[in-house]
Amino acid sequence: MRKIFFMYFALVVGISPLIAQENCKVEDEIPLRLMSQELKRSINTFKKLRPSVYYLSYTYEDKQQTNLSVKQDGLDNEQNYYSRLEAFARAGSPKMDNTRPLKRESNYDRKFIFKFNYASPLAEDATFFKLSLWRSAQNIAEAAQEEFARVQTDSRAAATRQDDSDDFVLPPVSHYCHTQETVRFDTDKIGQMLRKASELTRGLSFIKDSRFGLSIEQGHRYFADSQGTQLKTPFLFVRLDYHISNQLLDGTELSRSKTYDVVRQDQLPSEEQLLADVKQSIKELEMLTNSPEADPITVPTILKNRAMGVFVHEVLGHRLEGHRQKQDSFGKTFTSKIGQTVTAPFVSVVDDATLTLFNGQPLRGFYEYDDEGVKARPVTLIENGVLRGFLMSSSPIEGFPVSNGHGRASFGELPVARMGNTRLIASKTVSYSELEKQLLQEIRSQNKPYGYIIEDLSGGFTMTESSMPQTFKLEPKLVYRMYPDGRKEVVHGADIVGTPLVSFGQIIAAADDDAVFNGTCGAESGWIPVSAISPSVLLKSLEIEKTAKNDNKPPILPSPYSLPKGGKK
Amino acid sequence: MKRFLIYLFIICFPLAATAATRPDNVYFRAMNDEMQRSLQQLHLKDHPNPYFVSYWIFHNHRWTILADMGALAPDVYNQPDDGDIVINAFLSVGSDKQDGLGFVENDQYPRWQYATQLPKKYDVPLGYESLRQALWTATDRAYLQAAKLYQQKKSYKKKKNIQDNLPDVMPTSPGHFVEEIPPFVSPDMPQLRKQIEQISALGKKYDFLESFEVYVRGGQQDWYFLNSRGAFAQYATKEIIVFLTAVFRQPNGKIAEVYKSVLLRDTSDEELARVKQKAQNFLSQVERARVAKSGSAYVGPVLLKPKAAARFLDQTLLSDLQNSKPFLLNFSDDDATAGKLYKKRDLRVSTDLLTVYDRPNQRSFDGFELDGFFPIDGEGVKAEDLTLVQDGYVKEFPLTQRPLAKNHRSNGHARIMDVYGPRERLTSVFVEPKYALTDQEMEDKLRARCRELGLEYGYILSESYPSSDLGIERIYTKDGHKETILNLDWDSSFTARDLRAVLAVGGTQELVTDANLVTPSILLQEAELVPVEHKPHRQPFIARPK
Repeated sequence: MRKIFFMYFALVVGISPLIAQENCKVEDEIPLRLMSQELKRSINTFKKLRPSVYYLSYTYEDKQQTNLSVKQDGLDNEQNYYSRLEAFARAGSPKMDNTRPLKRESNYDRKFIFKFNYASPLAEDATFFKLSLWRSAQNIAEAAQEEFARVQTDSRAAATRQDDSDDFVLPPVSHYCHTQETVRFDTDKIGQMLRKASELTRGLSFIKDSRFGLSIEQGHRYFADSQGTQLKTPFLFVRLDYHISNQLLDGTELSRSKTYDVVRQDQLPSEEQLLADVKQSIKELEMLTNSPEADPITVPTILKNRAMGVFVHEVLGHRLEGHRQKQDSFGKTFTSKIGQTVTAPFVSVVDDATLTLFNGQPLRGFYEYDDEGVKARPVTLIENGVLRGFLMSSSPIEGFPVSNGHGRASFGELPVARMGNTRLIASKTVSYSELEKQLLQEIRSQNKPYGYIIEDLSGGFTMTESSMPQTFKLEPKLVYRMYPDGRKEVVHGADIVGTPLVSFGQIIAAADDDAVFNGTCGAESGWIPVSAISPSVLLKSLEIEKTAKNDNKPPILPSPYSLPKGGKK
Repeated sequence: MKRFLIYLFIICFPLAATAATRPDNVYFRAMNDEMQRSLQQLHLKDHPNPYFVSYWIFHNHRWTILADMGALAPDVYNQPDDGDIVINAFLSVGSDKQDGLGFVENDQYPRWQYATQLPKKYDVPLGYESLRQALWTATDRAYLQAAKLYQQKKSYKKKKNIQDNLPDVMPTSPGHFVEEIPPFVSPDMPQLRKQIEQISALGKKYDFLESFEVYVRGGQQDWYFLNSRGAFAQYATKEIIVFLTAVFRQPNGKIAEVYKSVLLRDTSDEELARVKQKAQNFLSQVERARVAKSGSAYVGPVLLKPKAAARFLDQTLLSDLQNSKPFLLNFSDDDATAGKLYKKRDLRVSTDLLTVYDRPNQRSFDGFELDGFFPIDGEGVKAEDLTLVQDGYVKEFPLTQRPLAKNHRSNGHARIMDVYGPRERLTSVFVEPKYALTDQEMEDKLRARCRELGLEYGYILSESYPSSDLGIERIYTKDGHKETILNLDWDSSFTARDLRAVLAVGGTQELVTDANLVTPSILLQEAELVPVEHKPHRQPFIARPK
C-alpha cells in the first residue's frame, strides 16, 4: 500500500524567499567545473558500453542547518554543515531504460542514485572530490545496467503497458548560476523568546508535552548532466514553530501547533505575538481536552482556507502527477478526463513553482529548476472546472511529451512529477461570514443535526495504487460543529475520508480569504517542500469518521512540568 | 612502604566510600525528585508498586574529525562538541523475595530498561525540568513493562511448577563512588583537523587506493547514577580513537575495504606522530596485501596475536564465565545466552600457562582509558576485582544480587546491557602469562612446532577477523621469512577444550578495545584455516582520475 503524506510538522521545514536572478557564472563554480569535467571524461565511454549508459548526472549540495529546540526549560542549539554528492545514470535508451517501473516484481529495492554523504570539492586539492565523482559514476552505471536487464526481462514477461510512452525525454540544455548570501538570525534572542513561550505551558495538567523550535536550512544545489546542463541554485527554508499535546485516557491524542515561515528575522512574530498565539493554542487544547468525541456522519462542511489547501493537495494534486497517469499500478482517476468537468465551474487550479510569495508570505514550494535540471514553469491543471493538464517530469505520457519542470525528489531519490505551489483560484467568492451563513442554510435544507467547520488540520494521506481503494484521509486538529441554530462547539477525534471524484465535485461556494499552507510532502521520491494556497470552501457534503487512537494509556503520573510551580527542585 | 600503602588503601577506602555524600547537582536533584515521586505515587490498579528504581544519566560529549585522501569532510563530521544526554530508568516491582526480573517474555523484545534521549546541548544545569520530563517518561514505560513481566513471571513459575528456595534478590550494601566531573574541553580543532587531513593525504601516494579515510572520535562521558537503595556514583571517562579505512581494488577486480583502529592517549604531537606512523604501516600492509596470493586449507599450529587471541578467548572462555544465572524464558526451556562454566566449578578448564583477571576498578592500561572501568555496578554495588582463572581452574565468577546459591553475595558485576536487566558480566579482563616469552621466542616456538610436524610453514593471525583482507601472515619453517596471505579464515568452532591446548603465551600485553581485554599473544597447538572465496568484480569503465 502506498500512502502519500502531507505533513505539517516534518523533517525538513521552512520556506524559500529567493527571487530568481542570475548573478554568477557557472564556469566560476568549482563543483560545476569538476562535475562537468568528469562527465565529459566518462560519457562517451559509457555510451559505448553494452547496454549503453546514455545519460549521467551529478547533484552536489552544500547546506547549513541550524536547529533550535526548547523543551520545558532545556534549550538545544545545533548547527551543522553538510556537503553531499549524488550520481544518477540511465542505461538502455530513452525509449526504454533502467528507470521503468517493474510490473512483475517489487520496485522497492531498486537502486537509481548513488550517494556520497560527504564530498567537499572545496578542499585545498580536489583529489577526493574527483575520486568521489569517478567512484559514484562507476557504481551507479553498473547499477543502471543491472536494473536495465531487469526491465528488459520484465517488459517481455509482463502484460502490455496501456501507455507505451518513452521512459525519458532528454531535458533541454540550461546554464544558470544564482548565488545567495547566507542569511543570519540571532538565535540567542530567539532562544530566549522560545523559553518564555515554553514557560507558558508549565503547571497545566492538560499538557503532556510541548516543543518550541526554530529551523534554518540554507545552501546551494549544483546540478550538471551529460547533456551539458550546469546549474547552481540557492535554497533557504526558515521556520519557527511550536507543538503542544495531550493524550486522553482513551488514547486519543490531541495537539495544537503553529508555524511561522519567514525569510528574515524581522518577519518572525514579535515576542508579544508569539506569547499571545501560544496562549490561544493552550486555550484550544484545553477546549479539545474537555470536548465531546465526534461521531461518523456525512454533513455539509466548511474547509477553512489552509485546511482546504491540504484538501486540494491530497485529493486532487497527487492524482494529477504525470507518472500516475502512466503506470498501470495506479488508479488513474483523472487520466482520461482531460477536457472534462471535474469540479465546480468557478474553480481553477494551477501549480506555479516560480511564485516566491503570496500576500507577502514566502512560499516553500518555490524553485527555479527542478531536480532533473528543467526550468520551473506554471501549469494550469484545472480551468473553470475543466481538467486541462498534468504535472510533468521528464518521463513523458500520452499527449504530454515534455517536462513542465515538476520532476522533484529529496536528496538521493529518483525524481518523479510532484507539486510545487498548488493554488485553488475561485472566480466567484463571498466573504467568510457569508460562507458560514451558506453552511447554516445547507444544514437546515439537508435537515442535518449539524455541519462541520474544519479549522485546522495537520496533514493527511491518499492512496493512488489501483490495488487499493482510491480514497484519501485528512487529519483535522481543530474542528467545530455548527448547529442549525448557529451555535458552535469544539469536538475531537474527527477525520475526513472520501474518494476524489465525489469529494472534489462537492464544492458549492468559496470565500475571498485565500491563505497559504506551507508543508512537506512525502511520496515515492522522498520528502519535498510544497505550498498550497486556497480560499475557504463550502462542500455540500463530506464524510467524517473517528480518529485512530493510541493503544497505550497516557502516563500514570502527570508530567512533572505540569505540577504547580514552586514545587521541589 | 609499598605494603603499608596497600593496607592504608584497604582500610581507608571503605571509610571514604561510606563518607561519600551524594552530589547536589541538577542531575541528582532531578533523579531523586522523580524517584521519590515514582516510589510514592506510581501505581497501576491490581498491580504491585515499584519497590526498586534506579537511574543512570550519561551526559556524552563527543568531538569528531573526518578526512579522506587529504580532504576534510564537512562540519557535520567535524564537530568540536557534539553528543547527547541518555537517561536510563530501571525499575522493579514486587519485593526482594519475588520480583519480575529474570523473565523474558519473547525473544523479540526482551526489555527491562527504558531510555530516553535529550540532545547534549540542552543547557544543563538549567535543564532540570527537561531531565525530570525525560525521567518521568522513561520511568512510566519501565513501570508498565515491569508490572507486566511480574505477572507473567508469576504465571510462568506456576505453570512450570517452579518453587524457588532462594529469593529473587539478596541485597548487598549500597556502593558510592564520587569524583568531581571535569568540564569537557574540546581539543584545538583547527590544528588537529590539519594534522588529520595530512595523515589522510598519505593515501594519495598509492594510486590504487580509491579512498583512505581517517576518522577520529574523542570525547568524555559523564556518569550519574542513583538507586532507591541509596547507592550513587558520579564520575567521567574519556576516550580517543582513530579509525583508518582503505578502499581499493585487487588486481582481480575485487573491491576490498580494510580498516584498523588506533587508540590515542591524548592529542599531543607525539601521539599524532604515532598515529601517522601506524597509518603509514597500515598503508604499506595494504599495498602488500593487494597483490598477495590466496591461501589454501591449513591444519597446524597458529600464533594468535592479541586481537586474534581476544576472539579465541571470548569463544573458549569469557562468554561462558558470564550470565551465570539463566533467564526464565517463556519461549524455551534453555537459555542459550547463559554461561556454562558456573556448573564446572573446581574443574580444570584451561591451560595453566595463563591467569585471567577481571579488574573493574582499573582505570587505564599503558596510558589508555579502559572501557571496563566500572566502580559501581548496575545494581549499585561496589565492583570487586576478581581472579577468574588460575592454574587452569576457575576461581571466581562475576556475580550480581540475583543469587545462585544460599550463601550468595554480589561482587558488583551486574551490568545492565542495552535492553536487558542486570546480568553477571565481565568488565576489563586481563590475561597474564605464567612464563612470558618474547615475540621472537613465540615465532621460534611456532616454527619449531611446524618443523616437528613436517610443515613447510605456519600462520600468524593478527586480526580478529583475518578474512577481511589483512592480518594473515605465513611464516616459513625453514628461514622464518613472512608472506602476507589473503582469503583465509579460521574455523571458528573453538571449544573450551582448545583452551587446554595452548603451547605458549607471550609476554607483551596489548589492549584490545573491542573486547575490553588486555592479552598477550597465544600459540595454539592446532587450528584450522579454511579458504574464503570471493567473486571478483569487473574493472572500472574508465581509469581513475589523476
